[in-house]
Amino acid sequence: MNKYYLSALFFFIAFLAISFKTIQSNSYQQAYELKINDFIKSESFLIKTVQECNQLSGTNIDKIKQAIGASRNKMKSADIWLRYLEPLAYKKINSPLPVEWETEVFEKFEKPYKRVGAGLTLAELYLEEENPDKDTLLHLLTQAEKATGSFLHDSIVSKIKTFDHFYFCNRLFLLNLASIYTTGFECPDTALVIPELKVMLSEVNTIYATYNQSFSSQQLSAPYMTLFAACIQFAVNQPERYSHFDHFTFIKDYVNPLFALNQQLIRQYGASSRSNLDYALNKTAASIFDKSLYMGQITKGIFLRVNDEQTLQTIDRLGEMLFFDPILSANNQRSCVSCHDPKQFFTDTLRSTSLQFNEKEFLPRNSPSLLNTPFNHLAMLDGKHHTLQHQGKAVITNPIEMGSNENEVLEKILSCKEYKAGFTKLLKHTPQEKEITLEHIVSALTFYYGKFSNGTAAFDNAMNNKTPVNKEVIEGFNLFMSKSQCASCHFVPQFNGVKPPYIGSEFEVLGTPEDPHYKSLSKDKGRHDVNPATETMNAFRTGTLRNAEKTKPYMHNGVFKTLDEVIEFYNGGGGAGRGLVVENQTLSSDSLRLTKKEKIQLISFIKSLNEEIILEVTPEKLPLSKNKTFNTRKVGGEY
Amino acid sequence: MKFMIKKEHIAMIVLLMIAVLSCMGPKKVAYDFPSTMNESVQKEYLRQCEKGAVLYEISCSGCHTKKSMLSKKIPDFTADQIYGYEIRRSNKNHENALTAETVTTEELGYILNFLMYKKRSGLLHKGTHVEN
Ligand code: HEC
Ligand code: HEC
Repeated sequence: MNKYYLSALFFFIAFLAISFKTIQSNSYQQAYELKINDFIKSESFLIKTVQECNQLSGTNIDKIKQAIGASRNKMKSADIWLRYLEPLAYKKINSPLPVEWETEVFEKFEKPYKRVGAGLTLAELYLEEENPDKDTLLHLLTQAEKATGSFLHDSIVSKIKTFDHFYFCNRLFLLNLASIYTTGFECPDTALVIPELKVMLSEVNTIYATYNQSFSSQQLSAPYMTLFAACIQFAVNQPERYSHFDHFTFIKDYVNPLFALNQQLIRQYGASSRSNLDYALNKTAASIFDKSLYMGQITKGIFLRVNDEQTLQTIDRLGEMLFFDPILSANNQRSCVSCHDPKQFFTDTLRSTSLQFNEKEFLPRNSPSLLNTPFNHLAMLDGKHHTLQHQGKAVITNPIEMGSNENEVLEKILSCKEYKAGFTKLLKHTPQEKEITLEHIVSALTFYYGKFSNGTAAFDNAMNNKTPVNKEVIEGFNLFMSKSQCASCHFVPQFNGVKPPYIGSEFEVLGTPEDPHYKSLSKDKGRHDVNPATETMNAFRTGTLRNAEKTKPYMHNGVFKTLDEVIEFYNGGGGAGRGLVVENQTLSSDSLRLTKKEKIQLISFIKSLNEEIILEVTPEKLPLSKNKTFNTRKVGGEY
Repeated sequence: MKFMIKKEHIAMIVLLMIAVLSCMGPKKVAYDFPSTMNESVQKEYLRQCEKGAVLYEISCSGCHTKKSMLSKKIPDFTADQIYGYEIRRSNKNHENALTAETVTTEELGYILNFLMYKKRSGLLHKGTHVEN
């Protein structure tokens, strides 16, 4: 009898041990499912609340807003997964805009996709409109509920079962901490930005704990956990208002070092990603403020497989000569330097827009600086070109810019012995091409000017704890990230329209005027030329603020001559804020109410983004051609 | 001094011939274009496929071509396996081997055309299908 008891006891214990173990090893997955289910419950409650309202007004609206707030907190608790695991579903849960046209890394070679947004942010914004209607509101919310449900499908849950996804979810989470979570992006009620941040940080901490339990061989390291605890402590002690929050220290002392540790763990554990979201990001970048963080363009072009220094130097030398060589233009009088002068930070700072080929009229658009162009996935202010190499071919053959054509320009270049010998030597690196093509020529050009984008700014050095910046810069940055709303379009770290995970460029409608007195709206249709749609009318690619002090004039048409004018433009709510009719403006038309001191701080911050650019001596002479008439051409061209 | 053919000479000549033969590189690949494809389109595809063949050799053959002492066989991929840019992420090795920095989008297009239209080799490519 005793024996029976003993063995029964033994089996019972074994049973317990086994079940306990399986519970433990699944605790991460369980935490995931629990958080998703909690979020769904809160959405159902919100929907029920709306359904029970007879009309959308007064106290009803307050009740709904409260339920939205509660649901947002549940969303934030799971955001680390939601955003990464199924980005398209996330657009139905928390899209910032009703319609977005997307052209992401891979898709940029296809027609832009229209993504109709839904979810909590749009619902909240909709409630602010005049006479909101119940069905529209419900539609926004039921889509979100359905999309959230998709996170429980096997196809997504299966990704949770191996450790790899975790480090990539976490990387995106950290990048978003640095660039959007503290800025009011996707958070219409700015009073909630920091409270929501606090919820998110503490929930992520519990996710970390269950992860570490379930994946004991690929744990977050002790230094990571300690630093994260300190990060939470820092946030908890910060003021609740996002304009008073110390964004600078938060990123510098916590988020960026956490990012570095996460990158190291990705490499140490050999985490591997199959998600498109990781396509542009580099596993070796040890800082968010390192130019190797992500890649937008391949400046080597057709020479992409060349890695030895000497050959790269040959390409660079050829590119340099070509950059200064007016032989690329039909009349041998214009070169890239005509509009992108290295001495003027690779732009034309002297005019609103540069001279046309005919030397009489001016171009419709301002010449952008070529510095940091490679950090855009789409080139040009309207994103017309997918690659810098396409752009190079197009400008050479554009009748109002350089006016040449493909055969002629190639023949002229190869009539110069030095070019011909140089490119012929390079042919062995492009075995798929039997002869020298325009692709070789433009690739040398992009490689040459691309290298000037490796510069670092005082702000980067401060973020990387190398040399500090002064208080005015720090306050300017904190303003930039909050009250002045700049960071909701100019994203950390390039301060352009490329936000984490850095796979697409954004276009925005600001209502940029034709003239500095706001008499009329700029006639340039912008993105609409490339992708005609209501939302893209007058939309332009968000430019980088790096080197902005040095690259005047500003905006696509060069309408503003100083940074002060630009700040005034934003302070007044863009074109619509000044009374221009801009129905699709994506910039808020309310005044920012910036004080004089705050404007100065903002500009100080922008100045801290000036980069150290090491210029080279201008070539003294250009390669001689067999055709003597070309040999009178001048370095850099004539106009 | 008199010239004499020695054993060593013969051995050297044989070795040289083997070396020359093996250096002659891959034979020109033949293509199967659909008969409905008109001639100018076919010409453009041929141009692209030929570039694709060279690029395949550089970037893909290391893992995918079946090599033996005497022959090399480029496997036949199914249309699903070479659908488009998804293949950049279709398996673990591609994460590092098929990045924007190793094969440009244009080049990837050439390679996929090459694999699509090259004459079948009879060797089926067993690999993962694109997962989502
Ligand atoms: C006549 C003046 C002019 C010349 C000459 C010129 N550019 Fe430009 N460049 C422009 C203008 C204007 C734009 C912006 C046009 C637009 O967005 O539609 C531009 C845009 C660009 C861009 C895209 C920048 C971005 O941020 O996306 C690149 C790259 C570029 N040029 C490179 C070159 C190179 C290389 C050459 C020489 C082969 C050259 N340009 C010659 C005026 C010029
Ligand atoms: C709604 C999105 C949005 C917001 C918010 C925003 N920007 Fe911009 N910014 C843009 C876009 C888009 C452009 C290009 C506009 C054009 O070419 O007409 C731009 C251009 C600029 C330029 C000129 C760049 C150049 O080289 O021509 C500066 C400077 C600038 N922004 C600074 C700021 C500052 C400072 C703030 C905050 C006060 C801010 N931006 C807020 C989207 C935005």
